Amino acid sequence: MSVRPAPPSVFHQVLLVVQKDLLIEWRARSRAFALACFAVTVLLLFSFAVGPDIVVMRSHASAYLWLAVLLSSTLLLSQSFQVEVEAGALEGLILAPIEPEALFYGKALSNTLQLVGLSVVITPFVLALFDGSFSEPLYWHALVVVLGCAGVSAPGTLYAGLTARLNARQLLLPLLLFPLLVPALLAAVKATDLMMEGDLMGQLSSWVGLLACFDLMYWSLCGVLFPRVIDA
Amino acid sequence: MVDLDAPVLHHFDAGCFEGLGHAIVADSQLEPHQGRRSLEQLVEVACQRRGPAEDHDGVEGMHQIRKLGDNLLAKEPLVGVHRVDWKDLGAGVYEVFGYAPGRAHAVRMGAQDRDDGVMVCAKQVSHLIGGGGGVGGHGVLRRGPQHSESAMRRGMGAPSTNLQTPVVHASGLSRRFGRRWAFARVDLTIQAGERWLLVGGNGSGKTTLLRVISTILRPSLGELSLFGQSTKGRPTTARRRLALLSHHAGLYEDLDSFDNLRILARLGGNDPREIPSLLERVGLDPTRADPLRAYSAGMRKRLQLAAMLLQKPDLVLLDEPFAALDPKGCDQVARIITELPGAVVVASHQLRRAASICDKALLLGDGVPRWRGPAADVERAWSTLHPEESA
Repeated sequence: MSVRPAPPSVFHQVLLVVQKDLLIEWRARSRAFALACFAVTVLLLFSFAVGPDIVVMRSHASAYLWLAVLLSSTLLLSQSFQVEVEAGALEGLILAPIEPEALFYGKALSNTLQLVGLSVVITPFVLALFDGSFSEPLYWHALVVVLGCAGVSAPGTLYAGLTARLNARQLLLPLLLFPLLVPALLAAVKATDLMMEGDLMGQLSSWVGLLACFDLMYWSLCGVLFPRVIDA
Repeated sequence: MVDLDAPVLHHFDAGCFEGLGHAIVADSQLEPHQGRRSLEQLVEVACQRRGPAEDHDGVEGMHQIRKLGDNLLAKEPLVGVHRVDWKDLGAGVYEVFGYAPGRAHAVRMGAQDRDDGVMVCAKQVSHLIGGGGGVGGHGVLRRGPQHSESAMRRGMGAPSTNLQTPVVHASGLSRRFGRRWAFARVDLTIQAGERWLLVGGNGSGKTTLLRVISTILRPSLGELSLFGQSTKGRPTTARRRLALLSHHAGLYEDLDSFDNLRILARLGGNDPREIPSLLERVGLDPTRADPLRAYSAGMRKRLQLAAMLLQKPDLVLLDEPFAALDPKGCDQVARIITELPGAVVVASHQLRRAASICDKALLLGDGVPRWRGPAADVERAWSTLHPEESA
């Protein structure tokens, strides 16, 4: 028999999935544009709803940023598995074969990257619409954005995989995901708020640490559970 | 296993490969024509180009023949032979596999110490699939001792597990969705190189059976082993050796054909440089950059075939391979299926066409096996079981 080529390592498979997902999003970039428009629209609606009081708007700016990310993430996460199931591509991947852990971490990583990109796009809108500014160095904001998006994408990828084949997936995904994200959301909002309002009591690092802990928990737990989701 | 008492020739006799080459060419029912070689000619030319055998070391001689053979294969394909594999068994022994439609043969050759100081290339043709007798032969590779006889015996006489282990072994295989059984009590053993036709009416469980065999679905009851290994747990090894052509494209709608195949190639550890030739082989333009969603159903089917060929599977599961194809496409697919080297299972409603490329058939009715026998008789069996349709 012919000697089969050695399969790529799990780490290499993760990179291949990230590369694949980003390539698909690049080829269908109108979807990414629509997603950014949706997030900006959400911010506009919040700004109209809160009214012209600039102090109230500024104090809520961080919450609106993360709510816009969260609402947009359900669309992005749902779409990320929709491309896998619409023509049976997931079956092709499983038979390729790919390790389920590699599929999970690859997809979670690409979702994180896309959410980070979305956050970068909408942050100037947040600052402009809600008269915000950062009083702490920007690298803190970058760190909070990366950790916050990672906290959304890990359980989001798990639940998106779970609901991908269901008819009511658009409804079920936020129903399952949002309660789980409350702790991470609180930590991300609080950390961003401290960066905007000023960290007088030196609490920022604690909230960032808490967010990192939630991320660690989500990424390890979801990585263990995802193969069962794929099996099912 | 090896005829160690065979007479010694004092030059490398390429004619000793005659049996292998002839058997395969005869099986494929194809005649050699200008510009293309048979397996016999390939080995003969490789040996001639290598030069006088007596001047070379036994192991090196084997390596050189293999290298020359591969170079020749890269330049032009063999007549009626889909693939030639050279397996290095160590100690200067090679097992050469030639795959032809419906059949595969192996020859082991290597160097051995003799009392007169001559290295002997012995060989034995074993029919992996189908009948036919073995052909013995030998040739001298070099003078001077190089390897011990015991080492030679170890290499040449070692049993190859691939010769006996069934590709698929299903026992009491059943699958249900909720309270409805898709199929039940299916016993099936498929050997390497066998071509099975799966026949049944709509909803008879053909597709589900193929999906269970492909390990995409788990059986509700029964045992399934692929390549001698149970599919319980995570059957990654088996999945690397099989391919499923299903109703779904199994590819990404937003990507073009090349990108789709490149992803699969990289995940499978295969060489993406093969992709353009594969696309041409299935009748697709390798330069076409349209996303898959712009493809017709027939073009998707062709791309699926290319994806399947890319994996070089030992077990191919084809669910309605002729669906959505034009007559020319059907002929092309039939030819590709015929050339597949491994075991093949075809589920199709096109009985006549599918039966012509298969050896055996299994007829399912309401999810239960109703008849099994030669594929040539499947139309008759179908008519007997469904008299209302034949009327």
